[in-house]
Amino acid sequence: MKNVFSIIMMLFIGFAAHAQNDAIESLFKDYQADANFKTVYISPKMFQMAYNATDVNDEKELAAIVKDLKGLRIMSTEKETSKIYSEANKRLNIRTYETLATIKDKDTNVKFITKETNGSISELLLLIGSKNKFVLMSFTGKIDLNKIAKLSKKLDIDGAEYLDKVNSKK
Amino acid sequence: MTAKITKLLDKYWEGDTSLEEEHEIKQYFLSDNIDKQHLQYKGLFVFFNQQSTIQTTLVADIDALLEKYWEAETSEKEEAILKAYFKSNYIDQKHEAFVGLFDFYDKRSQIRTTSTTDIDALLNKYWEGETTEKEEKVLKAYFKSGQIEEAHLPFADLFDFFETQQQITYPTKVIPMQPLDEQVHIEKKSNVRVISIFSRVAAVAIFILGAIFIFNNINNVAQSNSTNVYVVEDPEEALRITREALAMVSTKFRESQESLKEINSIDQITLFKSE
Repeated sequence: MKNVFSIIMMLFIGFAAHAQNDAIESLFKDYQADANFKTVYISPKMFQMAYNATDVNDEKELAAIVKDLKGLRIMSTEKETSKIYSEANKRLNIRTYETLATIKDKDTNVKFITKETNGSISELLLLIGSKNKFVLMSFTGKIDLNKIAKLSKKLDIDGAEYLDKVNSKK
Repeated sequence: MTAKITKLLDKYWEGDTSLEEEHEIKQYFLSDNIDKQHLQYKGLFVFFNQQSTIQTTLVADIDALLEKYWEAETSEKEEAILKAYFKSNYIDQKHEAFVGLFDFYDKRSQIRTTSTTDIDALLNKYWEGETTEKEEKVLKAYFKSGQIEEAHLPFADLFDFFETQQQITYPTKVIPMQPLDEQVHIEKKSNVRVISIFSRVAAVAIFILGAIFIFNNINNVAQSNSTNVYVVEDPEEALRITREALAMVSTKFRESQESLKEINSIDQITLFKSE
C-alpha cells in the first residue's frame, strides 16, 4: 500500500511541475489556435544548425548567444492588442518567473520576464504591447543577458528593419 | 495427625509423595479440621482440586481433540491424552462409542494382533447401512490412519473416494472438517490477497492513465504547432529571425537601462539646481 501511495504522490508532484510549465505552454497554445496570431517557432535542432551556419569571425557575439539557445517562439497579432497584453500579463504572473524589467512609454508596454534555474536564466520572455501590435517572445536555453546587451549596439542597424516592422511608430 | 501431615507436605514439596499420600493431603485440606500452621496452604490445594476437576469435566476439550483425531491431525501428545482419557474411568457418555476403537488401537500397538473384529463388525454394519454417524467417523479415522489391515485395504480407496466426493459436492466448504477459527483465518488471508492484487491493479491503472495524459498533452502541443505555426526549417532563416529577435530584446533592454539613466540624470540635475 505504501508503494502505491508513493507512486500516486510522485504522479501528483509531476503534474504540479507540469502545470507550471503549462501556464506558458497553454498561453502559446491558445494563441496558436487564434487565426489572428502569427507564430514563428525555431526548434532546438534548428538552433544547432543555425549555430553551424554563423560566421564565427564575423558574428562572434551572436554565435556565442545562439550556441546556448534551445528554442525561440515569437507570437504577434495586430488585433485587440491591449486586451491581449493585459491578459497575457496576468497569465504569466507565475511564481517561478520573475519580472526583470518593465518599460512604459506613452502607449507601449514592454516587459521582461525570466525564469532562473541553477543561477542562470533558462527562459526569457519578452512582452510588447502597443496600440496596434502585440508581441510575445520566448527564448529558452542558457541565456546570458550581458552578452545580449553587448550585442545590441552592433545589431541596432541590422535589427532596425525588423523593429520598424514590429513597432511601426519607432 | 498434624505432625504426619507436616511430614507429608515436606515430602510433597520435594516431589517425593506417592499417589496415595497426595490423596491423603488432598483429603486433609478438603476437610474442615485443618491445623492452623497448614491453613496457608489450604487455598493452594483447593485450587489444585478445582483445576483437576475442571480438567476432567472439560469434555469439550476431548471433543476438540477427537475432531482433530478423525482428521488425523493430532500430535503424539494429544493422542496420548486421548488414550489416557479412554483408558480412564471418567469417559463421557457421548464418547463411549469410541472406547472400543481406542481400546483396539491400544491393543494393536501393544501386541500387534491381527484381530480386527471391531472394524470388521463396524464394516458389516456399514454395508448394511446401519452404522451411526459416530461409527462412520470411527471407520473414516481408521482408514485415514494408515494402519490398515490388509483385509481392509480394498476399502481404503472407497473411503478415500467418499471423502473427496464430500469435498467436491460442497465446493463452498472445501475444508469442511477444519476448525472454524482456521477457516475464518484462511478466508481473511484470501481477502487480504484480493485487496493487494486490487491495489496493484489500481496502481498500474493510475500509472497508465497518467502516462496517457502526459503523452496526449505532448501530442496536443505538437499538433497545434503544426496547424497555425510557422516552423522555421532553414538555418539561415532561423538565424535571421533570431538575430532580429535578439536585436529587439537588446534594444528594449537597453531602453530600460537608458530610462534608468535618464531618471538618475534628472535627479542629479534637480539636486544640482537645489544646491
